[in-house]
Amino acid sequence: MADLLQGTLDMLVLKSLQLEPMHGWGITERIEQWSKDALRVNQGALYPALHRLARQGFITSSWRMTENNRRARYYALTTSGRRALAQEQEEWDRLSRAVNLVMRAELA
Amino acid sequence: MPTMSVFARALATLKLAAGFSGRASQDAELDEELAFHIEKATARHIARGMSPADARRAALIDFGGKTQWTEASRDQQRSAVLDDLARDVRYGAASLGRNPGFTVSAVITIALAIAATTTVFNFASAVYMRPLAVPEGERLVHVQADYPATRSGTIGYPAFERLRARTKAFDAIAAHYSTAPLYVTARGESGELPGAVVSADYFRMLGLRPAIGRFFLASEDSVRDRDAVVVIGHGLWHARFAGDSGVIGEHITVNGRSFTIVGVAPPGFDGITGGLVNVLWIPTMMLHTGYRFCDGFDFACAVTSTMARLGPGVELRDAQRELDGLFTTLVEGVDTARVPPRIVAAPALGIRDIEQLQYRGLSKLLWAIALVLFAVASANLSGLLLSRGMARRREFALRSSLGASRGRIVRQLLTECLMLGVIGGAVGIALTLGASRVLADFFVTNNRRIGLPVDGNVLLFVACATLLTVVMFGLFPALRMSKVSASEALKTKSSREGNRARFVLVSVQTVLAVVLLVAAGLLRRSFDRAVAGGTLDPAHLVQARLRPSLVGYSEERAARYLHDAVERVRALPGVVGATLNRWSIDVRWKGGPIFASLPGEPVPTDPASRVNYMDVGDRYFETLRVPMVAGRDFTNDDTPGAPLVTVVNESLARRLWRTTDVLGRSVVLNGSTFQVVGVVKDYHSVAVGEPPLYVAFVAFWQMPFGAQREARLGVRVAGNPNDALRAIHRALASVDPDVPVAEVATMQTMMLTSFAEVRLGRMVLLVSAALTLFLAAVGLYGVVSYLVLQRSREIAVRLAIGAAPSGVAGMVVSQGVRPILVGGVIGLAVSVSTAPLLGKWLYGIGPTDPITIGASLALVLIVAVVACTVPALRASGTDPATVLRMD
Repeated sequence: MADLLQGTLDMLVLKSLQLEPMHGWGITERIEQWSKDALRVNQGALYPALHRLARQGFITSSWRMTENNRRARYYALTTSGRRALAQEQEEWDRLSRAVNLVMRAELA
Repeated sequence: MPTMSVFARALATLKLAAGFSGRASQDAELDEELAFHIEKATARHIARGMSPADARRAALIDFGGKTQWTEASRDQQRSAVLDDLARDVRYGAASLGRNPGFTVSAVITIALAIAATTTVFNFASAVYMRPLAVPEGERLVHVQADYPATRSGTIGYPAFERLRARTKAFDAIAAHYSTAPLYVTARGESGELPGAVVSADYFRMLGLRPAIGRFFLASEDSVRDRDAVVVIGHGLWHARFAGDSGVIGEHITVNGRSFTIVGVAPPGFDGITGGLVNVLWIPTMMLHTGYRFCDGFDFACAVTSTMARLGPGVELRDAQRELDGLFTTLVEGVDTARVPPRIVAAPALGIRDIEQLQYRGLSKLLWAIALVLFAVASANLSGLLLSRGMARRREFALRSSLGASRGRIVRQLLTECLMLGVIGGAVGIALTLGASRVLADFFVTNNRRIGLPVDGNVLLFVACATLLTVVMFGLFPALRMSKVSASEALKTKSSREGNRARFVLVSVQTVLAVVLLVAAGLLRRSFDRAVAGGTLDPAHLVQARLRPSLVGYSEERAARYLHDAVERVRALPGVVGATLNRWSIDVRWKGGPIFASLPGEPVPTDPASRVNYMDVGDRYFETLRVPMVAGRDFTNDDTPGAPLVTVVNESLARRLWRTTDVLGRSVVLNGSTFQVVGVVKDYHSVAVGEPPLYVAFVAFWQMPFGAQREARLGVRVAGNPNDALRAIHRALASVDPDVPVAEVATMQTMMLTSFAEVRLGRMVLLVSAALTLFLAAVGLYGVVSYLVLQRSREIAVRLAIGAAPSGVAGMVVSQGVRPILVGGVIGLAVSVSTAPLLGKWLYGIGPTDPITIGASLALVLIVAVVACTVPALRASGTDPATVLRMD
């Protein structure tokens, strides 16, 4: 249950919204599920992150009914959010590849 | 547009910071969203086998606890506000304590701003707004004639009596003549005391109770000249009678008549004409004892003023309606030329109208200076907060990345500002107490006083001023800082914009410092010139006021006394000369108005063409050492039988004849023809920009304009004039111990009083100029230090590749001095265009005096260079290796 690397929470939130709009709880569950419970989202940080992303124009929110007929706020990616996600993805791939190269370097 | 959005943003942030967010619906949505989340999390915990209560607690803990929660969300729940405030205060105290240099500078800056404005507010409210310090003083009104020119006039005794008989609006009404000099002999000591002649209801109207004894009975104020009773002031009781309670029934002599003491006024009460002190009171029926120039009971001689207390539930306008209704009755029988347009009830606030006019210029000057100081201090505070904010960027970035909202950070910063404000305000009140005392001391001359107590209104003003300062000058830096995002703070690029803002602040402060310094310098030189006395030599002169008329001496007896007094004083050892002047030898006394014309010309009637006259004794110019241009001084031969003679000053000679070669010519003064026997230099003090004073001196004993029953005696002594005062007093008493001798003072002292405004203005300006310069220097020091810090890498590189340390220091200084130069040039322009406003206070010096301006600029530049040199030297002493290894 590693702490998230600084700045990665925003990226994970964007990624979790890639398929469909979701509420905050759903995002938590999805990240945990996709990471096979390796990542736990600090819920006190999730909502500020959502506000931050909304302010940056990467996501929008609207109130809808859940399948159990409860009102909940759903978040959805915007076009610029998708662009940002693509960019973050690319950066992340480059970074993780680089880190992996270093960490797996054969020591003679 | 951009300004609008800034305001809108500021407003929104303020609302957030205050915890009264207008976006309540948004808060509710947030609550709902989070409740949903916690519900879901709880459900999951239950599904995994927890009890519902444990599940809920676990869900809440997942959220990181309530503390982090409030910090993390934009929640502005009212219950959290107090929690937050306590934390803000704790956090703020720690943060201020960590940085004592900043804290002390900010507190001093705020305290100065508060003290300057508050002291002036206190003065202005004493002059214009403060009710009398008696029970329900705000219900008291002046009933006065509303003349357009003077704004106020007395209604006199007969109108008072008529009003007293008819009024329903007023609870109590009293006539008073509060500027009665009373010559009192009590327990073997004589002297002139400031008294008042008041009607029986005076003390009841004021709601006062006697300290001992009683006040006047109505019966004691019903028959003219019958009941010689007196109430003495608490201070006088202690000073002259040692607080002896046996004083009731004791007899004292007042203006030659024996009076019985019936009571002592309560402590602290010294009359009702704020600005003038009274220490004893006699009934209006004794008006002839207190006032001798005309019959005070007569319509034509309206010496008594009227004050009244509004009845319960009566509004000012009701009283006015009554006065309007009674108007014709009140003025019936009055000479039509003297009937005022209206009789009005005006709230008795501040000091006397006539003195309010006198202090208007001074008030304006004080306000202007206070506002300048306030502006300078505020600029400094802004600069300090901005610099500190820059230094705290990382801290805010960190808090922001931990989830603190922008409003939260702004509120934190404002809390710190408020804490600074509270401490600064408290120090400011202490400074105000001191400054008010110094200011009040300036007016404690000639029985004048302007009390400057720090009362509730003053404290309220302090609170408002502090809040205003803090919010206005704390909010901008706070908003700026709160915008810093995490990414921005990590890039430690230099903020050129911030530097420019600080340089502008320093320039503005320099402008103000130059303006104040020039003004202070001008007043300083003006005052020196004014008291140097121009053409007369003030160093060894003494003046005393001789008042035989006050004790009712006949014309002949008064004349004999004045003659003898001059001769007796002339005979004293150490006295060089003595002479008389019906008015005063003071360089600011103008004498009486008179029409002057040439023989054969029609006598002018236009008031603007009036000149001044002074009746003066023999050897007048010799005694004052005023240089004669031509002709002779007055002599003992200028008697009523001899031809009428006059000595004119150069300005009058030029005005009448366009030359000063006018001996033997004739001039008509108010219809009588005089021969010019002498011409003297002008010796009166005239401010720059005012026309010269045209003076015709006439012989005292020729009595061309009425009998001489009073005079001032001018004496020139060889030694220190202060040492001569007692001997002169004794000599005058040996001539006739019953004649009141008042206002015995050296010319030096008189000039200090005469030019009190200039002296006060000079002091206030000098202090504020010094403060401004100090603040500007501190500001500049801060900016340059910061600049050096920002450029430390660059400087290190320069030094490493072989730049000379002196070259580096020079570079820093030249950069720091630049805003000073800009400010200096602008300040010079502002000074030149505003200095003429000081005109009234400038004597013998022009508003653009190059020496003053040059000296002021030089001083500012020297201070600036010094302020830059310290950080510059530190920069040049940088060890390149250390700096480059940093980060």
